[in-house]
Amino acid sequence: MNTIIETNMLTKYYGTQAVVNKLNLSVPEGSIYGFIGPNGAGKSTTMKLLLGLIHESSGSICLLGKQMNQSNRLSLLRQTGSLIESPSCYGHLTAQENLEIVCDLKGVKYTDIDRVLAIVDLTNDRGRKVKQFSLGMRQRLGIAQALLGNPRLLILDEPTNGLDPAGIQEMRSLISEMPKLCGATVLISSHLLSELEQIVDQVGIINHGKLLFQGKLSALQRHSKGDIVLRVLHPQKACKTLLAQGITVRAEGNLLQIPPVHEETLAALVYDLAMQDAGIVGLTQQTKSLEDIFLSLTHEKEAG
Amino acid sequence: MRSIFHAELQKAHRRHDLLVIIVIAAAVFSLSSTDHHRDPGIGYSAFFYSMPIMNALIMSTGMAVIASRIWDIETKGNTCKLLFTLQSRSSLYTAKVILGILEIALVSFLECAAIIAFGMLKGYTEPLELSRLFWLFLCTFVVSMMLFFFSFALCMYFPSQAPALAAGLAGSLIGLFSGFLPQIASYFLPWGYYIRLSAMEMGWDRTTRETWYVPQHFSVTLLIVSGIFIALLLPAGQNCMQKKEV
Repeated sequence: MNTIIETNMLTKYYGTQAVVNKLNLSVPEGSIYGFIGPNGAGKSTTMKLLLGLIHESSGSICLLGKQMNQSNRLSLLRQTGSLIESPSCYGHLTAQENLEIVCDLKGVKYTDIDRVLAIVDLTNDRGRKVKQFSLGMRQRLGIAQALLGNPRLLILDEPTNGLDPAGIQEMRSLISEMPKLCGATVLISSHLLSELEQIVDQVGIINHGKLLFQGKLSALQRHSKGDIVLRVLHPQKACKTLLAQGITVRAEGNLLQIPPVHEETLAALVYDLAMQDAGIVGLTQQTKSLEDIFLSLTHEKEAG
Repeated sequence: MRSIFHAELQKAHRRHDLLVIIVIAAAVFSLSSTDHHRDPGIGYSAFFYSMPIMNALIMSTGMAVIASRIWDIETKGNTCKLLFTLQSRSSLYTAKVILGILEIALVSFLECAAIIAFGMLKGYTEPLELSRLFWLFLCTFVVSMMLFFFSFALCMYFPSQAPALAAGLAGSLIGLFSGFLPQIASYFLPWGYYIRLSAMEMGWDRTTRETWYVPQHFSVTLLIVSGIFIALLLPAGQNCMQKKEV
């Protein structure tokens, strides 16, 4: 698969602190790539570097298959749509007028405005001044600006920030349809893995400016699986069975916590527990928080 | 560049920039009008004398307001991070500078047009010297441009417009008081160049308290100095924009 974004040892220093540290990002074309990390991890800085809004201290960026430099930066970015942090729009102008300005600058015909307004469901609000818009509507207008001219790549920095649950859901479904609707690759950042889990297929995890993990979501999900908690009627019987199988158990009343195991192993365990009359009444797989995943990934890296 | 400037004009829509320009020109004109302007025999000379003084008082703040409004539109809308991905920073700077120059030209034009209109309305008998009127227009335009570029460079350099506006207000006071300083000292205070470039001086007799107006030579050298300042401030502002990280 072709990569649409590739960075090589990308580094950005603010003073002596490396906010982005030798980052080797690789975003496959056609994917929705979730760029995840806690606040201050370097996500926004990386995105700004990709868009040339700030200058890298060292390293290089390859965008849309071409090495980005001062001479081709704008032509590459014209094939890219972006929404960084908060939407960029003129409050005293209408949605239509805001989009006309972007059309002028992108060299796109005004007729494209109808298409993008329909995608973000703002057709009926095109004549309203943006200062009257809710944050959710502004975010959608920001996406509409990014979509003008059919970009090959969309870079969205925490587009759900500040939105209510309904707005988040709306935005999520809008973004998940992007590759289908416009054939664009999407790079989207968030500090919540759970927020992106439903829409992304590729994930990159960044912390302290370093990329801790990069790959398919399914691979990350293996890391994100936490302990299994069993609720049983007869904990003693259950413990005996589990220990006999060499599984470490942490018991707390009727709750038994065991480390994550493969699904086949788990099915066999449940069968054994049932045979031993342990009385299983509940089974839950805990999900690790992003912080826990960071810790496990960091530990793995250190061990590796 | 046409589409970029068109976008700039689009942004100015509903911003009442024209009103701001009219207010600045009207403030200068109304403050310039004194009793002498009612005398049809010396009306134009009185304007050629008083208008540069009022320009020194008003225009520094006026230019800071114009520069700040032109840039404020991007600060308020948080739009730099979008614009910098769609157009080169130099093209954005150029478009804004052209808009500013047009606004300054309009202010300067309105001031001169107001003199002619007032003279016609009051039936001035003093012949209107077009060369002096043009000199007033040229000096107002060039010095205002210099102050505009200074304010605009400050807007580019600082994240907020407050320093540019503060400098504009300070410039107004400096400009006015530079008129009381020895000529050589006032050359170091560009805010007062309006007065130093004035083509009319006032003479008065201490005993009779009679005043009259004395035509002056056009100080082309000082106008060139203003041009040099512009030539320095223009790239300085552009440099600030190039380095701006958003």
